[in-house]
Amino acid sequence: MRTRGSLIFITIMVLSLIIIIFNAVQWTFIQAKLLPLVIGVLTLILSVWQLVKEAVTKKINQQVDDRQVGEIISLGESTSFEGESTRGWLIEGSWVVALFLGVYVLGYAIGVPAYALAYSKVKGAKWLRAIIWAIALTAVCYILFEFVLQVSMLNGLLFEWLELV
Amino acid sequence: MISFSASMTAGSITSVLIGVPGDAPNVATVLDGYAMTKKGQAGRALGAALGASVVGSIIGGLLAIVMIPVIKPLVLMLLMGDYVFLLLLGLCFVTVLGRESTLKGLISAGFGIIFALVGLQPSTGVDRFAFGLPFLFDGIPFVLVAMGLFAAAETFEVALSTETSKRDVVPQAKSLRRDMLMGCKDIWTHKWVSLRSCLAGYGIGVIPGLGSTIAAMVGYAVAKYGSKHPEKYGTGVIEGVIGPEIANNSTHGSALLTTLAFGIPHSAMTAMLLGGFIMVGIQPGPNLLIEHLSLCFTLLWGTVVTNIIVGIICFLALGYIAKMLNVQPFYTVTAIIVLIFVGAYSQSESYESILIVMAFGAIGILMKKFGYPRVCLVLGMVLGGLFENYLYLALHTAGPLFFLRTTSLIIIALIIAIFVAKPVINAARSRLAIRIKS
Repeated sequence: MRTRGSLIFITIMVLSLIIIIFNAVQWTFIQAKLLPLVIGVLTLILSVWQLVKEAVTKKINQQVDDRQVGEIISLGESTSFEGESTRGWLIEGSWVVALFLGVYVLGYAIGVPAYALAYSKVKGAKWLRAIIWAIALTAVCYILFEFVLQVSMLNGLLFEWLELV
Repeated sequence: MISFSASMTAGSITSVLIGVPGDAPNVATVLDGYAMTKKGQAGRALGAALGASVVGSIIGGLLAIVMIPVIKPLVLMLLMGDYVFLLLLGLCFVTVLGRESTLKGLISAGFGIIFALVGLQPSTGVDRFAFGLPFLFDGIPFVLVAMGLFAAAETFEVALSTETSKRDVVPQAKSLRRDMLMGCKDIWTHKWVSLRSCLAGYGIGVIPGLGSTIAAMVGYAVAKYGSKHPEKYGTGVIEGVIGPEIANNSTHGSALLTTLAFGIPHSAMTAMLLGGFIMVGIQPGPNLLIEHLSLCFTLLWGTVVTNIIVGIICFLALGYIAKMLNVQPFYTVTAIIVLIFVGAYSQSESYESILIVMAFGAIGILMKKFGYPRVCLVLGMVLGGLFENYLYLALHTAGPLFFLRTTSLIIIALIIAIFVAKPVINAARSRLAIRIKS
């Protein structure tokens, strides 16, 4: 279905392709720029076509397009985050960003359990279960990556800055 | 590949027990499997579904192994120029025959190829779209792209979903195994239905882009329209469970065969398999079958053995497996998100890897929301680098008219035929789906 979001998405793609082509044109060697230019230009043409199609189509719901055929085939399988509110998107997105910032600043040992505890609690887990889950998840990841895969875990900017690690 | 194969076998459990397909190819199983559960025959339906999955993957795998000596001479006929068009053919199969819009598929594939070109160009050292960022000089790691596009995006969808998974669905354990055995026996009782659906699924699996979901639907249709009582389908008929399950699992062998022999991925999973080959230094494409024949046999046998093991595990521990449906989604979400983060970090032990996963996670979510097939992007990314290599090799060895060879021209004709056949295939799909629905 045509939405403002899908129009913005395809417009961003068109703009990205223009930047890609503009970049590729400036390269000196033909070996480096041949494929990026060919693929970039072809994809740009297709993207502009899609943009025009979305911009001029008023009610795409009435058309039996490929996607609807796909939905018929999948007998109603939901594939497109139907009915999710912008608030829901922002909240869930913020959790992911919070985890990244937590791990980046406080390190793995604090960031991961803090995220697991807070997320589980907000989603309705009882305190005891949330705490056990946070500890268990941290421990499993620690054992798996630090001991089995020999990957040194993230220490965090704060501790590096304080020279504690 | 093996985990994908296992997921498709175990995916029938939720289809039968709660009417929610564990995986897209298990959709058709819901129709009769869930109806059987409502009639109190969950154990029999589960036995038939799991047994059919195991039998389907064994037959599919064995057929693929038998086909290798037949395909090998065909592979040996190919030259560099043919590889270029073969890769294009693979891309076209998946973008055009996939269920999403062809236009969107081609756009996604185009972006996939561009992402594959990021980094320093090997022969000239030109910084292509890395914008001076050192962590992009070696290209975007494929594993991070796959994690972002699929794992992160799917987990985000689970996180957004408000539905709780608390359902009391576990059947009584005592009678369960006896009923499951009866379901397994049903496969032999309906052996001709099983064989027809299995061969139909195998045939669909050979064609990249059609996927296991279509194979399952065709398997169901073959079972239904070959039956003496098609009107009973959808009300809880055992053949309605056997047909789609045996068909979708028989595609593993044929899909793997096409992927290994010609370097044409069948789906997102086989595209990831090719990405895995690149990561460990194995060049996907026709040479794979010649230079790494033992690996090809290992993979084919692997899918067969995996399905047997998964079938046994499901049979013995079904009660416990079904209890996993009661796990609250936030446990899964936190576990997967944390594993994605730590897994991404472990790739190069840098924060940039996590940022790449987050970026591709966002791209994956938007692509899914607006109907752009992610598999085409992955495919473009896997095939993009290979395409460039083969193209330059073909130009150097045979000049600009490298495509004037019989095999190349046949492959080009096939590419054109795919685009021409698209409306016909779509019409057939709609008719099939409407008939099954009705």
